[in-house]
Amino acid sequence: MKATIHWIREFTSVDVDPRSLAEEITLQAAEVENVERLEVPAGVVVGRVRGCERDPKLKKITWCAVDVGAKEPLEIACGAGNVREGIDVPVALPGTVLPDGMEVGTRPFRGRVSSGMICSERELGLGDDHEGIWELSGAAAPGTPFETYLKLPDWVLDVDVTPNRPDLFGVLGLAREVGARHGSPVNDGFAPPECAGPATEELTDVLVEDEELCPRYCARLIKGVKISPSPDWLRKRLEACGIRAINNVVDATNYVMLAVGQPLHAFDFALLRGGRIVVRRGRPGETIVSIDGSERQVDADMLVIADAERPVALAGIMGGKDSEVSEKTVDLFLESAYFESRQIRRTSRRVGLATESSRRFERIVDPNLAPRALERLTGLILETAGGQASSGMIDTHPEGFPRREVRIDPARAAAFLGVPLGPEDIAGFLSSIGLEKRGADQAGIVFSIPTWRPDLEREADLFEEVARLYGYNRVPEILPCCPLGNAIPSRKEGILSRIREFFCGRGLDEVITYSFLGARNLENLGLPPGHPLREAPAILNPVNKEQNLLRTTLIPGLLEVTGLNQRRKAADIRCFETGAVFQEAKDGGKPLEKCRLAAVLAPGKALSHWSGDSSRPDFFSIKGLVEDLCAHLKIAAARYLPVEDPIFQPGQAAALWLGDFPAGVVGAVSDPVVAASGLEGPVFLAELDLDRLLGAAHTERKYSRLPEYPAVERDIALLVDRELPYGKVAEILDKLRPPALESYTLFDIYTGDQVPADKKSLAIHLIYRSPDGTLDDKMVSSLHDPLITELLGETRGRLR
Amino acid sequence: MKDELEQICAQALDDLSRVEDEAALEEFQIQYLGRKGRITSCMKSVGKLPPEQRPEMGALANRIKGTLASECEQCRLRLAEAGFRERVRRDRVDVTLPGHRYPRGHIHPLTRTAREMISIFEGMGFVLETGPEVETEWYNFDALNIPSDHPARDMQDTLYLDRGFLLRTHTSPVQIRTMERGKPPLRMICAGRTFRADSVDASHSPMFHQLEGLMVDTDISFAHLKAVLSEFVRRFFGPDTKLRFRPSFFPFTEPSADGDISCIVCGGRGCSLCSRKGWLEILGAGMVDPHVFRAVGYDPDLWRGFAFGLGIDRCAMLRYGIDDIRLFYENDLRFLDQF
Repeated sequence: MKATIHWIREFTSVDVDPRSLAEEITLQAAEVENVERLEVPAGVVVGRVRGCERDPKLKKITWCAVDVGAKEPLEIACGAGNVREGIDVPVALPGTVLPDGMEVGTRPFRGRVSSGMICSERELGLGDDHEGIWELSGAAAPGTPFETYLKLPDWVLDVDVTPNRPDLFGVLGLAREVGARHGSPVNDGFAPPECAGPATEELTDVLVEDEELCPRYCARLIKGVKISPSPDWLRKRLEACGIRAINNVVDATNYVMLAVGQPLHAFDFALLRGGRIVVRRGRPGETIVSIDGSERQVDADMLVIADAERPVALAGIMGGKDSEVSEKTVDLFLESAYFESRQIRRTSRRVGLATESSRRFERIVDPNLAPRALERLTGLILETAGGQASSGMIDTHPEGFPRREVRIDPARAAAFLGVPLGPEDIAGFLSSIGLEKRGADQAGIVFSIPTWRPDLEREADLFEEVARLYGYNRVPEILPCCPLGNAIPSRKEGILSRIREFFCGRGLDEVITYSFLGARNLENLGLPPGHPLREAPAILNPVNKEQNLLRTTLIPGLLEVTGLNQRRKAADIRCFETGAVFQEAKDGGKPLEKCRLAAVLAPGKALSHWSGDSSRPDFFSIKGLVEDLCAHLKIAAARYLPVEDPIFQPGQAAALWLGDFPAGVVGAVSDPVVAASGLEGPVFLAELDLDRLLGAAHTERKYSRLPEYPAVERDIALLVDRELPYGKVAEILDKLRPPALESYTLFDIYTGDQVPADKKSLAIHLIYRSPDGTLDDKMVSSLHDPLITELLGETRGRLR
Repeated sequence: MKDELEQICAQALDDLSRVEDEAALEEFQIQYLGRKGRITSCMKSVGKLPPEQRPEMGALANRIKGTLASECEQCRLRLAEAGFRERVRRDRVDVTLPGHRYPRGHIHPLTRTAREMISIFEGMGFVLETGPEVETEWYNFDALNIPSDHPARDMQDTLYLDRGFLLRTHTSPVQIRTMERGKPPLRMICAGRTFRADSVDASHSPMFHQLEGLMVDTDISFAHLKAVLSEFVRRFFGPDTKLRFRPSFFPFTEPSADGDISCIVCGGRGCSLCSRKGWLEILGAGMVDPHVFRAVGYDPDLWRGFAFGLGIDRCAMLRYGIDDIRLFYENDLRFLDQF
């Protein structure tokens, strides 16, 4: 909502500088987002063209004698086609600096001297019109400063009105706030229009078929108007407030709407068939061409304004082209109505049309405003377009609408706000914005609420009014006192933090990618039909089609980050992300939401160290990362088994099992996925089920005594079938493990000339230790030898 | 015997002078001074001499042994010295060459910011809660007093899924879930992803992050809300940062306020960051609307509360001087590595 300072001052005369006034409105009612000064350069005056003379050689140039209130007229060369004797124009006197920086001077031109310049709207920085010079429409004596003529300078306030304050959609509403702050009375009076014509009811008829959707409809005719442009100051004020000036009648409806907040409409009465209005629901098959030129279907869910035959307006939203006011219009039918807000919002949304009118109606207009606004409109049209107004008006709800009553308990208000306010203070604040005290009792003070404040329904709403008017920023800051000790840190967040720190310590950057996917992302992963990762919940109204699904996996996000950074020539790429993934629920219920952790290692443009050291990632880099994470989280029962997965390269993927549950996959991304994603390989990925990890994690730490006795170490070289997975050996060792076997480590794998072609040699280092004393060779052998014998038996291997 | 001893001694000293390394020295020591060494065996044979010669020969043998031991020690020092000089010569490096750098990862700036914000509120006794990102209309709208014809429920603002489910447009549903789960009094916060159907530009993103807070007790006031948020603002943005409240509107609070902080660049004088206003909007807040309490079965005559919501992205952008929200979700490593 835009309004100007002068306009506000027309309702309440406060003498505060414009920027302070804007600040006050911001802090008390609604944010003023911008203050713009409207001005005309000094040295521009109203001039009257007394005489015109064509330049004999240059056809386009007219030499004008212009009366600027001085003794002698100025002689000015003018290139505009519309200059002619008798019109009033803005004249920039010599020395004036125009908004574009040009200084107007006295210049010799074709043997004569041109002094000053006749200006267009654009040259004065007051509009886009540059068709010709500005022909002034209002009366002013030559020499009048142009600022005075346009009621400038003025300041345009751009107010961000919140949905609960429909009253602020009129300058009057802003004036009420300003008046309340300064104790300055608000005067919204106006001279009653002279309505000397026949009674309105004799000339036309209004039938409201649906009073629920249109509780009030006021109408009047004005006959014999003359359509022309509005006075310049009015046009400029509308334009400053963001509304295009059309003609004196349409401008008057908009002007009164901006002034008091009541949307209004003028029909060309001659074009209303049957000379009457019916407010009714649309009928199947009916259409209307609205003023913006679009043909729109109407139906029974929409309220229309119709004449005897057809819809002539979408009620409260936009008028129809067939009945709009044009230069030919002579008689007007004026509408000032109150439409039910939800209906307007629904229709506006359905037809995709939001107008100044619909914006106001959908936030609830004061139902008692309609007749008063109609009077105001009548007066303004009579003033700017002439004609004769019908006497009286049609009003379908002449008894008006009662004021609501709300009780406020002053003691509760004071406690609620934390401000020591008494009943008088509270009554004072509420009276200043038009609430009226109706009574008081033990339970509080009862106020009647003006009908322009539909948002004030309950005591809490009045608390807000008191707080606003007292000043939000005068409310003291008091820290609450409450018992200590209920801030139990979240275990999940704690572990997530540990995980993030773990990955950072290992050189991985945390990334945050969108929770969305596109179909292409899933295609790139080469998932077969029916794969669970394809069960992505669809977004019905996605921002774009690449983001029309909820992610079922973090992998596409990490692949995109990898691609972006590879294209941008990053050094090695090491990233991880934690976050939710989603899956359609089988039972048709709420989509499942699961917490995932994923990490990627991929080559970038990193150069090797000058010393020759390099650490290219491989399968065991990503697996080692996951193993370390599990160790960090004290997850004991982690196992890795080979797995086939369309995203991963065959033979280079392992499933992580925690006990009997799969908890993720680690491995090399398959060549087709790398290629489809436009990446440079090899790319290594892990995606883990965070909920499972969290379930298995142990964060508490307990000291265990350092060993007191020395360890005994044994090495074995185990010759087994080449195809036997090492995991099998480890599994057997774990199963047979005597208590004194503290640990074992694989430290070499040999295949080659020294062993048969179908065999491999695993070199394993075993450490024995007892907490009870030093183990001697014999004791160790008594544990080690049977262990090895059994290991050889189970693996069908032998020692080398 | 005496001649023999002196001859051994002379040869030993000669041998020792040719010792060039630790191994040779070791060898020398075994040869002369070891258990089966020549000096030792001489000393053993002293016992076989006539008794009158024994003291003299014994003393001589001991003296020679002492001499050789001390010479050995000298030799050891000489070798250590030479070895050290040799290692110094060999191992000299160009100390101006770059070192081995171990990669360090970085916590995402949004996570860092959220953690910091959370810890400030945890320090004031607020408990961190979480909630789902896919929500129902009830939790995201109805329970928060946003009726079905409210503009916030328009398709253009909310990302909808099938069957009326939606992506939460704010973290406020977690307020409702927490109140339903728990009993007043309570103090909670929640931080997480939120979604709106916004096209991407420098200041809009279809996904962003919010931090939500709620405190419910019997005697909570608007003054408490102001104090808690001012405390936060001072701790997060610096002790001189001021907070101001402006009237605003949220269906789930009454009174409602928008919170601005004094511009962290110009301190309020006006600059390009604050669009010459001197203030930066960072939060929305208010006293819990009675409708919300009724929706979760709390008696609004008994309980009062305040709630607030902070933009984590916004706070991070201000904190780090980031002017484009897209940087957070693009994940250029050159960006991430700055934090």
